[in-house]
Amino acid sequence: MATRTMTSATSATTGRRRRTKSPMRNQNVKWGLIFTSPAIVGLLMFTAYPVLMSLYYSFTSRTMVGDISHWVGWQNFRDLLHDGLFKQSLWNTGYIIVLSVPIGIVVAVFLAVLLNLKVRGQSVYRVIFFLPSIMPIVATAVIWSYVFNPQYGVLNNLLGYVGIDGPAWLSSPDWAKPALIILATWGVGNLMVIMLAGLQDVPVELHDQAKVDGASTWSRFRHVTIPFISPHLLFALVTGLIAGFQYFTPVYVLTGGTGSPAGSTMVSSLYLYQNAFTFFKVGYASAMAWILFVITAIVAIATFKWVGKRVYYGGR
Amino acid sequence: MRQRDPRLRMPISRRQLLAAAGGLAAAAAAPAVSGCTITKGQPPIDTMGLGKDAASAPGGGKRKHNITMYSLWGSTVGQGLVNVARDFEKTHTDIGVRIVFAPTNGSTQQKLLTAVAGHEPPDVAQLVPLQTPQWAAMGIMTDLTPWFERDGLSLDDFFAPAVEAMTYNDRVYNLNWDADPNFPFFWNKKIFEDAGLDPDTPPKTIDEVDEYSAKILQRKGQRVTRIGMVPWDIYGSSNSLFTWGFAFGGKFRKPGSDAVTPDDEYVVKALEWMCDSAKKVGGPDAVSISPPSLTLHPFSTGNLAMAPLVAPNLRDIIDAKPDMEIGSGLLPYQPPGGTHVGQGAWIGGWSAFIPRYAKEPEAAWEFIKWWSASDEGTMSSWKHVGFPVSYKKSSSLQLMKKDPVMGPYYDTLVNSSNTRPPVLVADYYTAQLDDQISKAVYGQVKPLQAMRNVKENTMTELRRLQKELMGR
Repeated sequence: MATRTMTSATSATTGRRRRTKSPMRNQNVKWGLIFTSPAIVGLLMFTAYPVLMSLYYSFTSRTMVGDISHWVGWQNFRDLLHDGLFKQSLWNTGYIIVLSVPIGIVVAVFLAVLLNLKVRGQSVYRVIFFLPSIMPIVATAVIWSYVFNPQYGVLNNLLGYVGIDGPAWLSSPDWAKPALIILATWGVGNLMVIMLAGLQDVPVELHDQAKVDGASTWSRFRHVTIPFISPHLLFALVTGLIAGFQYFTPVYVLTGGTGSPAGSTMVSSLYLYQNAFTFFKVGYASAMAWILFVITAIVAIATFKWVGKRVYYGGR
Repeated sequence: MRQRDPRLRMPISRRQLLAAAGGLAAAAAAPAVSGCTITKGQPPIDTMGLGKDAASAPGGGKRKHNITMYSLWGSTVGQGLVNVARDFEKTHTDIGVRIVFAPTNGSTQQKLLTAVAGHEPPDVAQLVPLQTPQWAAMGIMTDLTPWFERDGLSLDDFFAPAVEAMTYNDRVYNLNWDADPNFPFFWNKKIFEDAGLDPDTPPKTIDEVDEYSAKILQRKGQRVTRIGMVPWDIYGSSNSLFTWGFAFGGKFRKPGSDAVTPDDEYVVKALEWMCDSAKKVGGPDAVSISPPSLTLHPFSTGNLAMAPLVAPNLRDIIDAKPDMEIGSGLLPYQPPGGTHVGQGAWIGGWSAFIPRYAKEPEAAWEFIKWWSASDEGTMSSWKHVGFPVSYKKSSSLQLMKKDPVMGPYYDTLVNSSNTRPPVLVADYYTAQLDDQISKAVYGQVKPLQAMRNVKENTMTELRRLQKELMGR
């Protein structure tokens, strides 16, 4: 038995070695590299190189123009620790993420459950709810600037019907961030489709069995549906958190790149952009980018560790 | 052995086939990797009249020198600049001008800056005058002094506030082609009448503005639906404070230096007034006087009684509301720092410069000089674009004086003695002002503290940049 095992192991090794040296395999590697070379070159030039250079710049006083660049060590990072506007931008970003990601997921699941119901015109409803997410972000932001108008906007008019004197939304430091969260929730179509796909995978038999056992609708949703779509929920959570740290375009459009009113919508990406392109401080902006990267990575890893173990992967 | 059908015989080996396919794929992907788009012929640069190719030589073929200019404007102004370039080409047969539409992103000229960073700039570019020191010190701009002196131009030929921002360390770096006089003062006569005020007597001082505003104010619930003036939002927070700061007699920098003085006594008083004005109406977010779809200035709604306006806004309002009776004059001032009406006005606008690494600097200078500092060029600019010019010898100024719309701007232009502070960290300074003024107006920080914050942060940034520039 031992001899047989050894023999087969030896032959496997020999076979592996033979495959490694095989001219066909070398040809495959060569042609594989040739075919993927455009993507590899693009990745190296337009992703790897800028990423590495931004790491280098973060330790320099590099300016966007003017060829100024001195090695300043950790100075940019130290300055950022004392930069009030950077801290405010992190707070604003965190605020938006903490509220918009869970709300977005809940709304996406809710819509997916509704759209999973076998009703007449199901596909039409699905298209209607998906449409907002394929709208260009800039166009969406412009439309919502009308919706949020305090006096003439749709939102405050609707609130007026139920006796609520709506806030000034984007003109109010207290309500500008909630307005952005509402705007973010409007575009949950992509997430909704992912959740819908997840719902299709939930075994009908399990629902039937639970029903026979007398489980309520909520219990079936809580103990059957949620475990089966938990991988989708984790995906939505992680990608939502990462996207949250990159939140830029709607704020840029709605505030003209100023983060107004009173800095209440100054998110980290906007402040980074301002430093790089308005103040020319590429070194400082790069340091900011790396701090954001580290925060994002920590948050993503923590999410995987904390939430990941609660995810149900079909019995594995 | 069965004979193979010759029709089925592979004329090339599989390896050759793979090589050919790989080569084709690589060839197809190469432009994508290099960021190019495969197009047949020249891609159009002009779809709405906002750009143009350089004209060909009178006898056909290319001109001796062809320059490129970035234009920042859409609409009629962008089309006007194209026509200015065409006028230039008619009299300068050796030089062709290509206009590329390169609009700003918010307050940033992203296309221009990346082109400069890549050492592939246009030959002529534009900037907001207050940016001159920083852009000059960082080496973005070409020193125009040798050409300026060679061609017998004099700084006395330009309005003084424009000169302040055309020069840095006694060198000329740009020529101001658009002297934007910010601002004349306009009022809605009908609102004055409705409020029991004399429609032909505007307020002369800030105290009078407050008196008038109290009579004009109307509310609907918590919302302000008619207001005298919105002093905290005159084209942005920092522009508001520049205007009222000058009107109160304030200074924003130490003369002849890069040191900033936002904590100047009268600047702080101006900010206090702006904050008080907002507080009186229930905060800036209580004001709701215009519908969101309105592309015109809120003055056009008839709910705003008094406003400083830029010329394009006024022109649009007159076109859209020909029946609106509008009074015009000079900005109110506030003693004891302020001494006369119109003291708050400052000259902004745009200047033309030659970026470093420009390929045709000599031809670019000819164009800039003609456009900004010749009667022919400034007249062309006035005719096609309609912006006031800085060149005092221009015949267009007399036309401007007589123009029913631009007349008030002429008065403001010739009476103005201010420009926004052209300091080494001007963009940072204005961004700090925008942030802190907004916070002060919303009651998050006291005006004096806000201005001290601006000073501390800006001076720190100034010292950092000065150190960097010295070490270059």
